[in-house]
Amino acid sequence: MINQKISWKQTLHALLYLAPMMILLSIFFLYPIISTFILSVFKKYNFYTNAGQGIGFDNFAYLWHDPMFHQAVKNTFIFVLGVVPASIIISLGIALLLNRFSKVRGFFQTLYFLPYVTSTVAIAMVWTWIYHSDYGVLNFILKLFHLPPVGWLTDPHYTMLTLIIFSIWKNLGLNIILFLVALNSVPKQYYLSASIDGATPWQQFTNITVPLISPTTFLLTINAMIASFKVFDQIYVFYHNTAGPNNSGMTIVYYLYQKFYVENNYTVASAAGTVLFVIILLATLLQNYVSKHYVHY
Amino acid sequence: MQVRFSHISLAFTPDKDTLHDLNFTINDGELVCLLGPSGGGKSTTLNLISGLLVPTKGKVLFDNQDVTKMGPSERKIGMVFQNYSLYPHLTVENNIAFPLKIAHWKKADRLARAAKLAKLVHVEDQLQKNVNELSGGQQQRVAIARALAKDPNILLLDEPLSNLDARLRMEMREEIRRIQQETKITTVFVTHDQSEAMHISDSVMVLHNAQIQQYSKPNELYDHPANQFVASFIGDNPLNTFDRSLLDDTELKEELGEVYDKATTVGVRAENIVLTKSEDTYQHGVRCKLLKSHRYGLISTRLYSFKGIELDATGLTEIHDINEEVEIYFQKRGFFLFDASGNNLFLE
Repeated sequence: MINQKISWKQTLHALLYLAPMMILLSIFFLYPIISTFILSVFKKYNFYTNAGQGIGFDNFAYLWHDPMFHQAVKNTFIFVLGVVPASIIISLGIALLLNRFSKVRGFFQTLYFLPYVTSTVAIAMVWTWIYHSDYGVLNFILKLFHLPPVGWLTDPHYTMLTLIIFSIWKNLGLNIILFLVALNSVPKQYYLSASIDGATPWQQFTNITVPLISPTTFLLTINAMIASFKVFDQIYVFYHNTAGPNNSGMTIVYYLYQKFYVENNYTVASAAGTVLFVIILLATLLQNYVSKHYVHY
Repeated sequence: MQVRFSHISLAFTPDKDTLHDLNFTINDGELVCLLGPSGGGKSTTLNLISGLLVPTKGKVLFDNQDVTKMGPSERKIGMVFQNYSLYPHLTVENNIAFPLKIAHWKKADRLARAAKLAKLVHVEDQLQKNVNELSGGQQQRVAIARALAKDPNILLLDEPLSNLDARLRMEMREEIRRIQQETKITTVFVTHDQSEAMHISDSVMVLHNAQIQQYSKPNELYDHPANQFVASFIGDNPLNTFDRSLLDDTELKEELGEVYDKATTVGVRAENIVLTKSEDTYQHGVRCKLLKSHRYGLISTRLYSFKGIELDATGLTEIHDINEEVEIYFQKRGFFLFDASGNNLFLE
């Protein structure tokens, strides 16, 4: 069986089994992606007849010259850089702590996981109260330390920080759970033999824990990065259907949303989507390349 | 470095001692095996030497210096684990050099030391490989090299050969012996395999029931076992044991003399049952009936029936029929009498 040459019949047989998944993927993933690419190069497009006219890169040229899109790209990158490293480091720290205190572990695990299973919109509503400049808990805490209150949701300078804090917090749950799994899968014997060699806890962490959980760290980083590039819901809820005061919370997906649903400018929205696709693709490829040197499977 | 245990006890639970009042000395440069069945306290004793465990009572002394309160790294020990515990993300070279990296050695120095050790354990051509690409025996060698990296006072090996196949096990036990003799490092080796212990060690410590059953040269264990446990644990064939009273009406009783009355149990090694009497044997035999006979390559085994109990005999070459009654004789060196608490009465 193993050394047999694969016949056409067998290939067909295999395809038959794969078909259900392939069909679903094609309809819901492949087709929309290709449609978006096509839509982004139409000069004119009628939404109702689904007919495009003229092909060219006018939409991309429009984005190139639109200051609002520049703002969106800049904010998106600030958001990704603000959220991804911080959420990975903080959740690893919490996972390490929970791993030490096994008695309270289950309780905190559930607690941290709650935001992940609750809808972003619902939690964001709660956070609009936490962020409230007059009655919010956050400003109350600042006041305890004699710091001036901050207009979290009203001051354009704080818009990105507001979004970043919320998103880090929201990401913690899943990251912590997966980090805990990874930490537990590192055989205890490695720590034992390292401690015999006199390794301090910090040396054990950097020499054993970090390299051995690197596949999980890599997975979570890519995951967090892709999710962060697509940030939208929290902005929508925090700023009541605007991109924040003075558009200070404009991100690529929000820009796309505004072009598509508010301005009905479908082709530009598609072009923005294509740009986002390329950005995420490049970032993922870069991470893949880097991971070859630092991730140990 | 000399290792001494002085009145060491260890209890994990208050009502039961895992180790009870252990006293022994391991001399500098010796290879000592801790031998015994699972749960006998071998690994616990090893961990007490390493400092991974702290005794409830008593003192651990290295060259007369009290190290009871010291941790493993202060005691300067090297340890090889049963599954080697090599770091999967590091190359052979970096695994061996790991303890030196922890000790902040310069990179060039630690790689030079790793290369030297790799030569000692014969893995010098594998240095750049990932440890997962090595065979079990090679991984074992790397683990030993790593344990030796910091030039430890004592090398501890916890069941190092149990993950290897039979042939490799024989090869590696000779290798461990060679490396030990080249480095002259005091070595403690835990095993449950008595033949492994007998082959490589200078001394063997048999541990069972939280206590040292016997601590002596390997051949002493076989020739002069301290008690019934050691007699049945050492040796390739199980020890035949039966109640003394079965010999009460034989002439063997008279031949054994006074000591016979103190005994409760008789033990005879299977390889010391013969069919002809000689100077080595007792002059009086017992009558038995042959029940079964088998041959496995070199070894032939027979099962005799003696007053309703069964006796295993190996090494017999004379052929006779099943169910035939014969006189069997016991060679003195494999015949023991034990008192009620299991002590070997011939030792007194």
